[in-house]
Amino acid sequence: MVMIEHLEITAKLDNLSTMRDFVEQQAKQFGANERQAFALILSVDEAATNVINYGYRGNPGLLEIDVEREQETLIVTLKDSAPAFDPTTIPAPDVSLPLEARQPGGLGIHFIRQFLDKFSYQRSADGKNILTMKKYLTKGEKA
Amino acid sequence: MNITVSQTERVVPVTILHIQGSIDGLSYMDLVKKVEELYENGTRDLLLDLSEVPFLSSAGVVALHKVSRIMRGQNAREDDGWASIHAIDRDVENGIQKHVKLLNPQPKVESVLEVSGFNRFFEVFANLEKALGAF
Repeated sequence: MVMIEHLEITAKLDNLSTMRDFVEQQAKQFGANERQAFALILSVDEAATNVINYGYRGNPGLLEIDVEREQETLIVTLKDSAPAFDPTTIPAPDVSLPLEARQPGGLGIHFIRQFLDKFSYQRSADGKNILTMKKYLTKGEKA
Repeated sequence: MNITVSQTERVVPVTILHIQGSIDGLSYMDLVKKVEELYENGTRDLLLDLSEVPFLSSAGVVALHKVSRIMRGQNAREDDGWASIHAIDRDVENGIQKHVKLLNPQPKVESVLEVSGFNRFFEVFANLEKALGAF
């Protein structure tokens, strides 16, 4: 059985808390413990913040969030219609790089990599960025 | 996010910021501006009470680093994102942050501080009296 919940919301920073609450509620409903849910909440917050600040850049836009459970994996998908950008290409932190070499939003991507089990990107045929974030429920620590 | 300020003195005068609410991309600059204002008005030692902060993102980590710069009399506007991580690595070599300490972060917030390496930079206390005595 596949369970899925959907949220469509205006891309603005004021809505971050609504997005976090939605992911928390659905992830827990689908069986995530506190730590697993938090990993997904933090990741969605970071990814959405990057899309709002560096994707839409203040222009009006929408964010679509799906939370689903497929067997023992929780999957959160974030879709936006901002210009194409693949955050998975942002390199891991390298403290030897000069400060100018950093990428905006890179710290958030670093957190996503640390907290999630899988993180992938695709550009859809209808011009959307699709970020897929996965957390395995079986590997999780106790809450 | 709501911030209330109180003053107390043990070894030195310490300003305590009681932060209520999430420190995210929307709210993080409110914290930075509050600390800028306090520094301008003479605050030199700061304890951030995080017990009522349910969520802190990378924006919150950036805010904490800006706060540490302000309390050392440095420009807080220079760094963002990655720069915080670079700067923290540099700063850790110079020893732990002396004028800003953290009180009672919730476990989830603590996990973010760990991943960012900030727990090597800020002293974290679970007890108010111990925190105040450490300045």
